[in-house]
Amino acid sequence: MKNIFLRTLETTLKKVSIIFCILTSVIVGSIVISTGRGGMGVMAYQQLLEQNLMMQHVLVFFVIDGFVLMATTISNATGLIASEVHEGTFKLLAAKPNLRTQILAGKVLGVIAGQIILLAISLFSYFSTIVIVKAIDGNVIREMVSYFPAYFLYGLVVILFFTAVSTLLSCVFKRKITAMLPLLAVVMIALAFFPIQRVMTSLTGKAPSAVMSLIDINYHFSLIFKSFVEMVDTIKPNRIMANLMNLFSVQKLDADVTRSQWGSDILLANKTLSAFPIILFYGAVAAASYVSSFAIIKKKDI
Amino acid sequence: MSEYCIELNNLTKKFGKFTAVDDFSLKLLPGKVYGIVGPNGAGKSTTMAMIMGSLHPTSGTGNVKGHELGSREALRVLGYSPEYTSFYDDMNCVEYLWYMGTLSGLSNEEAMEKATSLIKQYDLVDHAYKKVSKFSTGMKKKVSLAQAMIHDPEILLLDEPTANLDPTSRMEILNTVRSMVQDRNLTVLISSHVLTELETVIDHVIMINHGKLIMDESIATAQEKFKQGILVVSCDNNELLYEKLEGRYSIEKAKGSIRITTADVNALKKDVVKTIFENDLVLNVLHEEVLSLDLLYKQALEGEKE
Repeated sequence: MKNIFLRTLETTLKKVSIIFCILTSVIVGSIVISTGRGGMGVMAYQQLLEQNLMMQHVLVFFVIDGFVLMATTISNATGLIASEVHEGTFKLLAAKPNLRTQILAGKVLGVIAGQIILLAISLFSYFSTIVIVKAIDGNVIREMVSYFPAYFLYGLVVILFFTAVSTLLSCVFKRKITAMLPLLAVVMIALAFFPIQRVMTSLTGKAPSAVMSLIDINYHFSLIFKSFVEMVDTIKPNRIMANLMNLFSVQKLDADVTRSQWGSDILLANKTLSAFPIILFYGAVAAASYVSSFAIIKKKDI
Repeated sequence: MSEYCIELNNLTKKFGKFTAVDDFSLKLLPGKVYGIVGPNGAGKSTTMAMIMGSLHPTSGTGNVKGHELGSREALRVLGYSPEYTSFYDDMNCVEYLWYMGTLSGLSNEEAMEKATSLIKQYDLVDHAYKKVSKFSTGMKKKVSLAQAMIHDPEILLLDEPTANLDPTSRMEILNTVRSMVQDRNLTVLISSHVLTELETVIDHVIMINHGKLIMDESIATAQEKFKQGILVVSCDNNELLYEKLEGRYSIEKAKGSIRITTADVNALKKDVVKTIFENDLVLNVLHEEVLSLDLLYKQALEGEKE
């Protein structure tokens, strides 16, 4: 199992994956810095901090812990069994005196370890970019860097969940592409479809439907993300996170109490769902996927 | 404990409605070389895959030295070279054999030692650090054999080891198999379509068609069973001899000789010698034809059709 683990770790940490993670993270860091420059002063500092943190949360959620991490996890984990079965190499792995469950365990652990390293590389590259460039106030940078553990822990959740589902599909299907496409569609729905749909809804002046929240994967993962981020500090309400992540809802104010400086509406935390049952649900899906994968691989004809 | 090293009892494997192996039973004795022959789709590879545990039987049981098919204990004594071996694109020959060795339970050092020795034995030294996926078909077959031998198995399953090879590579592979058998007293189950080549290696023939066992005999017994009495004769005037014997026997002209088929070969021999003596001919060749595996195969399949 040790050598299968090491081999899978090695193939997960392909040069192209590492370069892709570093480049994307450096680009994200540059974007956050370039949009977060401002003057100093008590209010300016607070505004600067909030603006930078908001940009950082959104881009880390959508890009580093989002598209990059999900896509690489899915790509690596769906190939674990399906690719080897399709290419014919699994036949000889299974012909050696190892339990198939041991082979799968070695491979799954290899992908998880590899993805954790890729996550660490991505976050390190991102934070290195904002620290090295030093285009914004040092205190703001220090505050921003303090979110590293929160992003890392959320990334772990993403890795464990997507590895579980990808492994299951990899055990079911005989080709990697067949296993990968449905999951990439899920990622696109979570990171693109729901945010776009929410922005369109808000433009028409309607509030997002509560029923939609039940299937809104973007909202579910945003809640998990928020629960980790708020271990460091509360996220201040803002419209971008309301539209893109559904973490805040817009409440129309009564005309009698409307003050000119507030505008006609106010942003409140969206409490349609709470993080705990969501984490439990996705945890259960991941656990069921791992258990099913091990059951399937034992009986699979190769 | 059973005297057999592999026992298959009423194995059946179905893929949907298609029955690949049908109520197949087999017992293999240790130290013998078994050839499993049959047309394409007969169920040879499926049978081997079930012995290896890659495919699970729909019904029936089996064991390898008393261990359940596909169990770790069974796989420990088995070496397997599939018909189509796929290799990792990024691994060279040493890395691949080392990796397979470690998966077979060898320590890193033992696996490296074994890989190096097999590379020498199979004449792959010049290619040791080249990517296996770029090897010629013949060299890939050798690597496939080497990985099957990496943990010194007691039983070797070789699925079409000579398929898609040129005659030189085929001979090379068969010589390798022959020397492995002689050196280690292995039990080998080998499948092939090139029956004339198998003949030089195996001492027991298993024929399979439509997933059913149609013959399980030692080569000598099988040849005896299907013996038709074919006499090959050559003299200084084959044309005259042909005329004298024509009508009395089933007779055909061959290059430089004539082939005569009969049920009573001893009576034929006397008649041929008498005819040659009476016509003052000079006898050059007179021998009984041994039934080749190819003929045996054809006859067994024809017998099955009838």
